[in-house]
Amino acid sequence: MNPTNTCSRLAAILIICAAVLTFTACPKSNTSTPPTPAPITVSNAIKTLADAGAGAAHSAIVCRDSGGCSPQDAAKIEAVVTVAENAVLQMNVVLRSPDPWDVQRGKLLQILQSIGLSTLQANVSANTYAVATAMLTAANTLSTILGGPQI
Amino acid sequence: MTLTLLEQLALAGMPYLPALIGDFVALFKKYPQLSPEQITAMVQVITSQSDQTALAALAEIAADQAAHPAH
Repeated sequence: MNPTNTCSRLAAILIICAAVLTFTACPKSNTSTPPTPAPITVSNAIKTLADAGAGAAHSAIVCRDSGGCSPQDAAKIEAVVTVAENAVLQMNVVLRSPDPWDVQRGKLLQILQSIGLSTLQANVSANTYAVATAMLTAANTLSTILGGPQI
Repeated sequence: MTLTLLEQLALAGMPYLPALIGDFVALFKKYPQLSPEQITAMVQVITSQSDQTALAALAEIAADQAAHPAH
């Protein structure tokens, strides 16, 4: 048998095998999902903060009415939630603006930090603070997403 | 005889095989991406929802403060 012929035959068989494997193999399932765009992630985090604020205000009212919290503490929660919900409205305006993402990110961080959530714990009782923890968690999550510090 | 024909076909197609495999790999890796317009639309929907939540919370607080002015 001619060695050149044998080499050609082997090469051809290898190519046929490769082609068969390529065309018949099951496509590998693509488990990696595309990353969620930053504005959508941030919009959702702001929505979570809005929900948490609404929950905190409602809980503070219930807590006060049931005698679990003092009226003064409930009023402090309401005051902070008022600032937080207004901040949500401002952040949504920023998100809907035509500014580039980097500019929006800076403005969002500035608004978030202006809420003053960090002083809340020192100003209310533990019972009252408990109703606001979800709001702090949501604010911290948002801050982390934006690349800001923990509150 | 048939094997010889296959061999000839395979040898003829050899230069094109890497490109063909590359096309298939690219096809499998392709996944739908959101367009800028779709992202803007989604942001509009989500921000609209959180606006409503925020306004409802502010309304509840205002109503409570009106009912409990001493607090």
